[in-house]
Amino acid sequence: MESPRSTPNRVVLTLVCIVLAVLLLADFASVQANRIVPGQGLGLFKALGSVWASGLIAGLLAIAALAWRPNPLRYRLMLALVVLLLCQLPLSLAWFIHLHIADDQPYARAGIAAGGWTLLFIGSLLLIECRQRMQPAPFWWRAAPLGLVLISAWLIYSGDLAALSLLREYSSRRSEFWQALAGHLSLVGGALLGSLIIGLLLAWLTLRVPRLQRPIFGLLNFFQTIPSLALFGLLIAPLSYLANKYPVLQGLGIHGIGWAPAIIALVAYSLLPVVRNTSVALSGVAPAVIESAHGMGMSSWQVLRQVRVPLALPVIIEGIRITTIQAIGLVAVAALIGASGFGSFIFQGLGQGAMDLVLLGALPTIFLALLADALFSALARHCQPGVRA
Amino acid sequence: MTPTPMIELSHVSRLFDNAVAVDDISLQINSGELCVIVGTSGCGKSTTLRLLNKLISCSSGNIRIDGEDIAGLDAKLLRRRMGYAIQNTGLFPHWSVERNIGVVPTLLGWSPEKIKARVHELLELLSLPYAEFAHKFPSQLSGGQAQRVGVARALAGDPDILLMDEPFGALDPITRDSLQNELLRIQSQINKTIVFVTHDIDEALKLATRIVVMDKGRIVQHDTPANLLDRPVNEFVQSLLGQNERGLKRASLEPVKTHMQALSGDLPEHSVNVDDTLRQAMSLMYWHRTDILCVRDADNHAVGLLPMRALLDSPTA
Repeated sequence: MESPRSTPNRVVLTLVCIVLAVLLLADFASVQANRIVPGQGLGLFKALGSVWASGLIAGLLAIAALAWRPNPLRYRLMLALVVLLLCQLPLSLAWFIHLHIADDQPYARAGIAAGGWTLLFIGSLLLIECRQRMQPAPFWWRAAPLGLVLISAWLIYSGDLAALSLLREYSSRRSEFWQALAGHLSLVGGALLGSLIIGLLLAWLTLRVPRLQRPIFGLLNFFQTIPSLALFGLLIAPLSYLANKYPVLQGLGIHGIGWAPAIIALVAYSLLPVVRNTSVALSGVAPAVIESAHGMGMSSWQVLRQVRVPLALPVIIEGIRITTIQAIGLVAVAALIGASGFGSFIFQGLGQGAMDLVLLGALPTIFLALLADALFSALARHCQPGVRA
Repeated sequence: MTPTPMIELSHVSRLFDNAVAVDDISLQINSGELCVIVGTSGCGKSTTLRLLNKLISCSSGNIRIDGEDIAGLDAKLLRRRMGYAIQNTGLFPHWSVERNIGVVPTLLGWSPEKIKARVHELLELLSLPYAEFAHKFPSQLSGGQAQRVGVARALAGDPDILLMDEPFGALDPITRDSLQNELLRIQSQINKTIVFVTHDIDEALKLATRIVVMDKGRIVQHDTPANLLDRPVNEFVQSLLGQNERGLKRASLEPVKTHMQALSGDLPEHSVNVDDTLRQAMSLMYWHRTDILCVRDADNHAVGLLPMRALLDSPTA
């Protein structure tokens, strides 16, 4: 059957044009003889050799050709090409290192330049666009993120990417990296736990005593308006004073700087989304449902546990999701007052002008945030009450 | 012998912030009655209903259920003994139809097998096949189906008393009519004491054994539908009944059976069913331009004649 002529997918065409322009005009990757000297950027054809580079360009052109008159079959092909494009990225980096860095150069390092980053970024956007155009999307679109992670992991494990500047930074700070991860996670976890305990209590209070709603939300809103750095700073003085006055607090590890002010500030920031979502979700349950629950002879506790909470859960989890992502970002800033976490790499890197070190802190932070987002979104979907008609 | 009242209110009042919602009402509802409380919005009819299952407490006066003063009873245990169905169904959106209906039996601590059997029985009673509906969620039901599930849920704990607060108010006229017939059919099978609140006087006349008319928190009249039409106590009741329509409403309470005459001579061309009302007979006469109908029973046998003049006779027993 002849389908009506479809219109070009302008999003895909635009994205391909951008990535082609960047690949042809800017550097794809760079090499440095050691950490100190400035790097030398290489264009796509120089970096990967003409065969690999031509293949890459041909693939991108093929995607553009398919997007000119798209139909379901062509979207399938497009998606397959995008998956390939993303999966070959770590391989192309390994190939680049193989071509340009000899084994007897222990200090030489390879960096990803504008072209490489653009390819990763635009490739992800292409993946999202193709996925959204296909309803339902074929299950194998997941091969792209999975392949990207697995192939990278394999190449890191085998040592083929060892010369990548990011990994050079990692290998010289191996134990610090895992400490930072542990520190980051425990601060986020502690803040989450604290804000959940206090937040759920406050939410319950706003429901039982509606008069308290205004002052509570007013206070929490006020916390949100203080810049995070200022709040961290403001906490140093009172905590140092308390720690000096009561040595028992010092024994607990509470000082003006370090984890204590970080946790306090994080909890203060995290409370608003938790309290607001919980309070709105619990009070938003249809009055008829609550009335009939009471009318059936449920106790107040049964109404809360069997009706209010299950119906409110997706919105409450949404609040926890926002809180977690926010906390992951804020912990990075808390490095400035001596709290552990990936932030310390970022600020050290900024101080030394070493962008690779900044990335060593920034990339895992972004990865943690994305992971938390995916996890809590899935959890909220799982808790969706009943079946949507 | 006078039957013992199942529900008895004596001098009950309820104030909301010094505004009187229910004003010194006394009322007896006997076992097996379908008592309809009717009135305009804000007349205190819903408040009265909620006083019965202690969703609202009395400001003064007392209420006896089956001889017991409810002031001394635990609200939860009292409510589990009474079915409760409301306008927007109040079904729990996160639970299947089966689990919704099983709420009160679960609270009463029945065994899972017994609950399942009860759900099965009730869904069949309300013409919702178990296999098709038990595992649906409320969002997948039509308005009429959801309301049937609401009624099934109210009946689930096998209560003596059923409280219904405008249960069919949000339904379209056709669905409402079929659910009213359904309620009458079910009531003839299970014979509960039902207190039914509505603002629709036609619904009240159709369903009630006795009607309580309320206005401004007081009971204006408490009587059978026929007596209410024949002898409204004041202008408010008259206006509620509709001035010009009263005759037709009254006619719809009289069955053809009580006015028909013995067969004689040729059978008239057009027929009416013996269980139809005089109102339907009048409609048929007008439609067919005739002044006499043949009365037939369910098996289509002619059992009597209904001339127009007979409509004006007082009914025979």
